[in-house]
Amino acid sequence: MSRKRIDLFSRLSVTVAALLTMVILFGIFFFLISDGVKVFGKISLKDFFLSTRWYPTYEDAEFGILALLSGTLAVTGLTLLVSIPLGFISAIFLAEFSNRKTHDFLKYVFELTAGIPSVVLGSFGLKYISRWLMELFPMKVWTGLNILNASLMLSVLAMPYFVTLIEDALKAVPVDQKEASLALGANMTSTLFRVLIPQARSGILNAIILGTNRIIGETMVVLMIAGGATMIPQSIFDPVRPLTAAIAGEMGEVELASTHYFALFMIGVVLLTISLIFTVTAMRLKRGMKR
Amino acid sequence: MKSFGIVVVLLILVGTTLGSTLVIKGSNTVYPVAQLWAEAYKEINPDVEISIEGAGSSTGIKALFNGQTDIANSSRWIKTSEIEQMNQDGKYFIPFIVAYDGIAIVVNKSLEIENITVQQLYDIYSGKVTTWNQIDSSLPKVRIVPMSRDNASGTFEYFVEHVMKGEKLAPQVQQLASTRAEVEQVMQNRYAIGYIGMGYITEDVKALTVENIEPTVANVNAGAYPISRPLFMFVDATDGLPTGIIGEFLRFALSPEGQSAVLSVGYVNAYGMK
Repeated sequence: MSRKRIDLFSRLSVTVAALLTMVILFGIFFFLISDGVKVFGKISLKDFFLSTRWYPTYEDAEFGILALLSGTLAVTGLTLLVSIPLGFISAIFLAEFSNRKTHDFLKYVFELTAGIPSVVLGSFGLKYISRWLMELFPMKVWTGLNILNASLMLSVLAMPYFVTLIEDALKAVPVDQKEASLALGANMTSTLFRVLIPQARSGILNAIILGTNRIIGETMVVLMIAGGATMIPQSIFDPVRPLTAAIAGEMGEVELASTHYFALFMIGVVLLTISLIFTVTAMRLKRGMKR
Repeated sequence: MKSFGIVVVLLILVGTTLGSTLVIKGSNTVYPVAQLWAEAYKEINPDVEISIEGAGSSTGIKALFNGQTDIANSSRWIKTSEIEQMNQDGKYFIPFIVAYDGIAIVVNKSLEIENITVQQLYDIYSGKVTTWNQIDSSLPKVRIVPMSRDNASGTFEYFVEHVMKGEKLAPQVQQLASTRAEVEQVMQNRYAIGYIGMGYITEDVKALTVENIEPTVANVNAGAYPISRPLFMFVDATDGLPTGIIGEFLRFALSPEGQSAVLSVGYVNAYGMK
């Protein structure tokens, strides 16, 4: 009797917790969208998504987010290009090629890195990376605050995610599979590429989803060091103003219920949609792999 | 962001539990001088708690509407929309000019230029002029890197209004989140140019003369320096002139002693000094 009751109670509390999470998530989505869509009462869809001109505070204000969007995509893309290969290699090293001592030490370092507040990374980029970039490429870098600077600092932020989660995925592959491969005479490299990575791919994909969403949403770093120029970048040395930076930089001063205010909410919707599309695509891929 | 929220909650808690408190919010430009006054005022009245937050002029005035602040610092005059809202809410805010601010144009120390005109500033920031040799033929043919404050800042609004005459900044103009970041970039980048409050000029950058007039206290006071503006503190005067701690603090700020303090952060006094 009492066992049944406990069972009922735990089932109920788990259900309530799950429902609550969903309600909160959909609530956020609902409020973002309901405020966001009001911008289209004043601005056409085409002017919002296809214009590069973001001048929200002028008399004849313009609200085109294409330049901001390209900023987000450029910074996120370059960060992934830097941090995924590095993270992947580090994870493989940690999982398969390091002895206990180095493993524990490196793991500790990555955990520490994960704890660095993004404002500290931003300050570091502002003071040092920016200067180094200008000294290193004096012909190419016309401003120290640019896509490359932001991507480097974002990589520091995202790397621990990639390393830790990919390592976990590799470690989750049953040991007997690895041993069977080795026993059949395959060396470590081909075991890695033929057995371990294919087996762990769903976990690896998971790591990439989580890390990428973290990069897209990161605000402080890009606000401080991505450069703040509302232009379509031509090179990785150009400054950009990603969507998150626009929200963070302008929300504090925006007039309530103005077009600018609704436009910032719509930017929030766009950000959420990007990360949703990304997550769903990755999930689909994952399901396809399992089959 | 989370820790910021906690700090805000703590501040509110502190504000509600202690008896004699004064809350000041608003313009980042007024912030340093308000802080000086608060420190000096607390020395005379040690039992008073003063919390100051720099979040932009509009935020300060908004907080005054919500009753979340006693004094709203502002680096600009009140907007038409705010006057309309005052009418709607049946409120009446009054401004006190507490100091003057000159906007300084700063470049890297190594750049061989001493003077700039308002027209040249307009050309640079609107993107009509993009290399330094177009400003002065003795300067190298290198891209000008113009820096600006975020469009949420009062300094930005003032610059757009008075230098740009409402025209939009070129897309490549970099909007930075803080004056500190702007100074840092001008310090690092030999071809950068930026505009900052005179209070933020440091040894590390070069402040140009504008129309051959130096950005000095005397020139701003005399009305000779072309880009300078008054700084305000707005208070809610719906029920009459501010009394109690708000009135006392304002009197202190405008006193000869308070006005002398203005100079030490690089602003210009509005009234007689000690």
